Amino acid sequence: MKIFYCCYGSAHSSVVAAAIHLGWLPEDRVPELEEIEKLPHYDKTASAEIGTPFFMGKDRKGAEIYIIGMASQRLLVKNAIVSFLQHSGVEPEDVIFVDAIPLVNLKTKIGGILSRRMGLVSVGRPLTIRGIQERYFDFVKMVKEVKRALGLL
Amino acid sequence: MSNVIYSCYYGSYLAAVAAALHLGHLKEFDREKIECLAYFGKVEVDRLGWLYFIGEDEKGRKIYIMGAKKVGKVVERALKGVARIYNMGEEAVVFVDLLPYGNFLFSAGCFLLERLKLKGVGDFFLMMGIKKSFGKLRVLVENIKQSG
Repeated sequence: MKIFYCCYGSAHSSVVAAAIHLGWLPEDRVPELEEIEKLPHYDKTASAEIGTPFFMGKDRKGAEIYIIGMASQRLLVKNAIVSFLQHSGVEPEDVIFVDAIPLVNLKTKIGGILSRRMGLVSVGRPLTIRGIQERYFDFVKMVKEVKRALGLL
Repeated sequence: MSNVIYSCYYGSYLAAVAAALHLGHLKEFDREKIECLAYFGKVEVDRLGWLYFIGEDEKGRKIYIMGAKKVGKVVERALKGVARIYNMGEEAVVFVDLLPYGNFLFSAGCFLLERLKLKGVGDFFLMMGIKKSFGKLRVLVENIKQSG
């Protein structure tokens, strides 16, 4: 099974969701700024990489965890991947897309624009993390629901 | 196995013409033939992103069309990434984004047809636009055919 956590640019919400899934971030407390900042790909994915799936790791049940940015066309990009797999003879049932965008709040959005689009990393990055911290338990809840639904708990 | 994917905003205009050129279904600009192409003007908005198989070329490559709006680059990276994950090889995806091959007449025709549903005038502008880009499109497709 392959799980793709999706967001706009595979730099913030999908990274955090994947990290929770893989046990890199705690489920019982809000992580510190440094814990989020040091995650692989966190606030680092360039615009020219949006669309590229990045492998994050395998969970305890062997599911492969990826992150992917789909810009503002998540349905279109998902359709393309599923359709491509079908035409290539791969059963897309084992490919799960989890949209992390609904958990992105205004702080993370503004921070992401400042950091990724405008290059103001020192201002934008902490703001993205502040936004993630505010919604952190919603991320934990979403990942738990995904794991429960897929029998990965 | 190589897949050539011709993509444009809606997937059913420039992409359909390019796929027809690739497969030899079309040699010169011919309005009547273009209007009869498979999927020409027929890809629904909720099917954007889906691949439509048009045929197989003489090198055994599968030719598809797809509507990718303005995110062709994102889709290309996603499909190439997925091909890598499934060990299909680098050549599994040849993605041809035809968005730059549009022109003002073509865009006006698409807008009139798709947004305003004005078929007569929309068709007129669309065909004028395709005719204007036809030469460039043919050169591009010829290069794609020769490659790989």
